[in-house]
Amino acid sequence: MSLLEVRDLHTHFIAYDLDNRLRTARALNGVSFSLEPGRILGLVGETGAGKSLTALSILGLLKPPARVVAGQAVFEGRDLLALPPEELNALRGARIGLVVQSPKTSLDPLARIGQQLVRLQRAHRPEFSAAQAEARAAEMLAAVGIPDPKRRLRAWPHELSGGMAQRVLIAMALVNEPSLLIADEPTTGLDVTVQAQILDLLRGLARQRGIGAVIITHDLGVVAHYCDEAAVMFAGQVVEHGPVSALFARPAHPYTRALIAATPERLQLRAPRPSGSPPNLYALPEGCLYRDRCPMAQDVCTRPPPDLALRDGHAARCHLAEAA
Amino acid sequence: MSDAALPAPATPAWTARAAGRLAGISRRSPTLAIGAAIILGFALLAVLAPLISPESPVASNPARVLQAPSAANWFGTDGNGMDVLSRVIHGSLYAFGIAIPVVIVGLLIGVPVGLWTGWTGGWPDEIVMRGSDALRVFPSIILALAVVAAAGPSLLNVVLVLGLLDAPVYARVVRAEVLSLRNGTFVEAAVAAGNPTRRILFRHILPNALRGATAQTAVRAAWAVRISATLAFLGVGIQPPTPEWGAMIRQGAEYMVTGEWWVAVFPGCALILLVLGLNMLGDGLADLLDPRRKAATR
Amino acid sequence: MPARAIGGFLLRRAVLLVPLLVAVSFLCFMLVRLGGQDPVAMLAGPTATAAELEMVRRNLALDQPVWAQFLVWLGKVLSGDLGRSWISNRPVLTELLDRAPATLELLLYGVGLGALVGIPVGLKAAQKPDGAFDQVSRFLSLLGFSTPTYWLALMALFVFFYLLAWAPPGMGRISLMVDPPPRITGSYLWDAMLGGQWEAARSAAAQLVLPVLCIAIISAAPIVKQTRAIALEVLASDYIRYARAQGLPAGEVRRMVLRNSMVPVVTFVGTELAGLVGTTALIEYVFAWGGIGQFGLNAIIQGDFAVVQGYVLLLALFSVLVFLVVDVLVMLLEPRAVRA
Repeated sequence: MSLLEVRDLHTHFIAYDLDNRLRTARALNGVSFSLEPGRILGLVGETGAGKSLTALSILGLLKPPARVVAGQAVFEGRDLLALPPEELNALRGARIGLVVQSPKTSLDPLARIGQQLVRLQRAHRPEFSAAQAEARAAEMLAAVGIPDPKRRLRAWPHELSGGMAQRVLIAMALVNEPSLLIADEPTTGLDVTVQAQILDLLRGLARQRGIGAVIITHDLGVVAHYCDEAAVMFAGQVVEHGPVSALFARPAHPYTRALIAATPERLQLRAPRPSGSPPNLYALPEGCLYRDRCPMAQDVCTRPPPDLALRDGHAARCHLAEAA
Repeated sequence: MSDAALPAPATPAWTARAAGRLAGISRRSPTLAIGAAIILGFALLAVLAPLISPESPVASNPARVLQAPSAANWFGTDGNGMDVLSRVIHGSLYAFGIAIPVVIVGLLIGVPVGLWTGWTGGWPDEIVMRGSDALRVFPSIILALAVVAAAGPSLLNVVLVLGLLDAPVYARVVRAEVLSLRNGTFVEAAVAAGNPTRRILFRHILPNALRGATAQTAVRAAWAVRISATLAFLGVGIQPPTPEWGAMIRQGAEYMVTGEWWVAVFPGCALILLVLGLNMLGDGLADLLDPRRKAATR
Repeated sequence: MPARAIGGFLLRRAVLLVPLLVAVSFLCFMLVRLGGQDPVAMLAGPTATAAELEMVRRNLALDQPVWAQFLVWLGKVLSGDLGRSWISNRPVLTELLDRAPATLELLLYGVGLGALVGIPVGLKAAQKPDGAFDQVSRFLSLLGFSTPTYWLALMALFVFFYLLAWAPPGMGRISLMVDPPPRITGSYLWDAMLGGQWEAARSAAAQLVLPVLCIAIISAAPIVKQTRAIALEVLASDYIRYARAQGLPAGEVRRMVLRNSMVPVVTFVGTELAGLVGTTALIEYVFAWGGIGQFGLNAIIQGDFAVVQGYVLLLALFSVLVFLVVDVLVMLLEPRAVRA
């Protein structure tokens, strides 16, 4: 059984505009992917493709006017989207850990690191004594590579560097021994050398503890180096997914090919690059959403493309995938 | 996200479009719509005062002193036998007549100063900012009262002093806006393209800076109405029997403990309502202009 | 927090305040020189004799340049000489200090009550923006914002004194039938209780109720609005979003919001306290409170400019003092301020 299976997730922004017309921005248009226990999935796409929104939808953290209008997110056999809020809240931070992209501002500025780790444990495991929780907090800080963890428990968030704060966030995400970890752009804003350390740490801890992880990134290089699986998002859909090796060896969707060609290591002068802006979410075209930007677009593309299965668990949402 | 095109319906009449926009703004910010409606109502009262008020606001009549509200005098009569309703209606003339010039004086001083200090920085900026810091240490009511009293309490002085005390507010808003725009890409581009400073300031920066000052004007107008009424209540500036709301409350104050409430209560209600409308408009504008606040569906 | 850190912090702040204090006193100094009228006549008053006029003229050092006049004036102010009131013919400083406790009492109770009501209301309103509670409290806060202080005071007198006869007439700090207690703190209520004069204490308390309620209402309005805005900002912050994403229980999140809102709220209530001195003056005026505010307003109305100058200066100093106290409080509440 999959650890997490997201099926046909639709999230819309629904609001009245200044002319009093009800407008719907269709931000997620049928996101589907699945994750096996202990595997690492890279969810990749350009800004606005709906990567973070997917995570927020699954975790029930959407704010109005955003709203999940259809779909399922089955985690350990239960549909997260159908759970009552309290039950979902009990899973978040316990069975599902989250690492976000602005670690320095995501820590409570008025609580010491140790207090925050203890608070989080006792919220989900009331049976822990304060002393037990503090001991585990120190262990966790050591596990994420923070030197002198006992002393660091007394540190205030503003005393930490960005990389250090991100390690603390990872410690918080893992302290309750989750089976799923979602890391949303975990290295944005960090120094390049620190980025690699953080990603190494994330992968190492996930492997060592058998945790399934979703790493959300706009960087294909991160997917290639740190993930087992990849899911490429465009305009609120997963347009291609599969094992990293297969996906990079034989990219089947024209968008994936354009993305790969645009990564710095492979930048070729004549390569087709993703160009143009994402489609207008208020007036999405019928059929393939990538049609307007696709160099290979044909008449058939005005019909919605199927999720075509290729070899090795690799699939692409494109009429022309087999031809590729 | 809001400027995306819908499949265009057959071009509606401009009235229908205007109605749609009005309804849209009211839905987004009912506060703004109600505030604007209240202000519009008082503006109409002010413009039509001579036509709609039943009597002259200063026609005294010793035969009907301090009469309670009745069919003849809806708001009763005051200690001089003047019709309170007529006086309340005419009071809106004074409220606008003071608030509008005060806001204009404040803008005329504050905006150029904010533009100048924000653009040049350096010691002029330092002096103006320290000066306005010092002004903010005083409670605004007391400062306004003391300066008006010192300058001599004429109507012109009231307007000049209130405008002058208001200017730092606009200067700050405009200055902050200029500072944030000065280093922006589009100003850099304009400089690189060889535009003269004056052109950049007035063509590019001023319109943006004024947007920030817009929401302030409504709130500051509310302040001007309040303070000028307070001055009149204390007998500094406008004197009875001028039909000004603050002065009317002053006249009615002594009757509040003897039971003739209508002399002070009605002008007070008018004052509250107008100030409330201006504050609601200001709040609504601030909400609407705040890019961080996105519309929520209810 | 070590006492030495607080001391050093206070010292640095005080040094930073010197230019502000100079600017503030210069404004007060200029007050009688703005309108183009003769400052001597303004300060000496209409009843002055030739000898008095001459004395005031000599004190002002009018034959010297303005900056030298300012230094002369500042020197006098620093030695406690704020001039004489031409109405009472007593030193301005004595008049003001005699009346200060009565005003301070009113201000502290009023703003204290306003904060006690306003802060929880603002926090609750922020929990469900645009919910029913929020809508109602926002409207009431706007209404309070827009109500003239003196009109509210008159309404209170009309309803509670004239109609219901629950409250005593608005004539000062204690009933005319009761002897005021001997002065210890300057507050009739406390002095009476300290002296065991229960009748006087009861009367002083009864006189306090309406003015304090009026100030509380006027001060609660901006406190509600600002607390709500602050709490909304905290609620939208990364750390609250992250706390929710970690499944912290609602109560725990609420405590976080509360703690993180406290510093800006305390700062705001401090500035309110300074700003509401004006409101308090109007309340005093209507209730004939006999504090520094009523005295100052009467001086403004009657053109007793030595008193006006001293009153305005004293208010400014009070504001500066309040800001300093707020700074210390913030420093105690806020771990980030320790290093600053």
